[in-house]
Amino acid sequence: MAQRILTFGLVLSLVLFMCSLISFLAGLTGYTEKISFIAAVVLVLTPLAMVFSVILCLAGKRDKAGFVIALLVLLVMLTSILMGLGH
Amino acid sequence: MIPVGFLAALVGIGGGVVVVPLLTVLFGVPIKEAVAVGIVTVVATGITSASRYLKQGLTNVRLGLFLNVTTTLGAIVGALTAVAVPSSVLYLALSAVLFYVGCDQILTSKAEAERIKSGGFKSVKEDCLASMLGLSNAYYDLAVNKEVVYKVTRSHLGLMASFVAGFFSGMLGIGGGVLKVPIMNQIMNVPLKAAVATSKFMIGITASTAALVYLRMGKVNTVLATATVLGISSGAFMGTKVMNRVGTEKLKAIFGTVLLVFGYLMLAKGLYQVTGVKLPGV
Repeated sequence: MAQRILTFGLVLSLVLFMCSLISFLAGLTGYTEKISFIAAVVLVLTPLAMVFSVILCLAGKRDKAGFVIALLVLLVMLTSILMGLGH
Repeated sequence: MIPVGFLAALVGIGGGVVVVPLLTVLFGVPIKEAVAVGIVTVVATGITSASRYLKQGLTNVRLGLFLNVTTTLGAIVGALTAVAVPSSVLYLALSAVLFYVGCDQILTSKAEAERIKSGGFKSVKEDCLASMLGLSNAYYDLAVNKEVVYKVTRSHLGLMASFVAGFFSGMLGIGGGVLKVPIMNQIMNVPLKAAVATSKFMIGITASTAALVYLRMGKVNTVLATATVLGISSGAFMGTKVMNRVGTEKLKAIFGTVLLVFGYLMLAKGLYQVTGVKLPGV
């Protein structure tokens, strides 16, 4: 599951980055920035989605220890994002 | 960017330490913009490699998540206390650690290859925390055509060392792959290939949080990121194709050399801050 989400996120962001590059080469610079921004957002949100999927997977398997660890990782990730935004 | 991605995937580092100077020195990108683009490219190498290594069964997801808790906490503490300790002291301390670990990686390269052949990673006693959390694992080594089973040991020490690795990352702005791999390999009895793959998995998670903050604040030049991400991802993809086929002895020698280079860069930065002497590479 984690691998599928990583692959999907990666492929989607790379396709979007390619579209951005093509729009730049075609002189459609207005689109380049918008598409590359969406691509970057998809890319950086992929690991977050992956951790979330791992949590769901472990909860489904009733793996308490794994679930707690993955949940802690997600909480620490969200905390550092909030702290970074606050800074 | 392609060779950087290739090397990053091969030895389990993020690549930011190479990307940022490349962008600033070769392309004249301002340092703050280069750092923001660098962190996005680190996410790209992390995801590309993690996705491939997960498919190859090399990544230890449970171990990666387990260590990521203290690594990220260490990074937060490191970032918050960045002003309390002079960075020159940290650069010099980190340089000494990297020189020691780099030499050790090179000197023990033959021994690890022997341990893989003889099943030495399996014969170590698993500690109770590793046993409780199911951290031990196995992978199929394509270089020796053999399944390598390993038992994770000294989990407590690994957890503490990961906090220190995160602390250095947060304080000095480095990805931390150069420390995560030796912690798993030399302290926790994880074979180098599994350590490299797990490190890439961890780097993707850690870097994404920082990248998200940079993106939200509008600091990332996404047009520049397009070129670097496309280049580095293709390099990382090639690196993941090669890594499991390379013999452990060679891989350890490459990794040891990379650590020595980073050790030198940290030493040069530390010396520059203390004495003002500018060594090549600063």
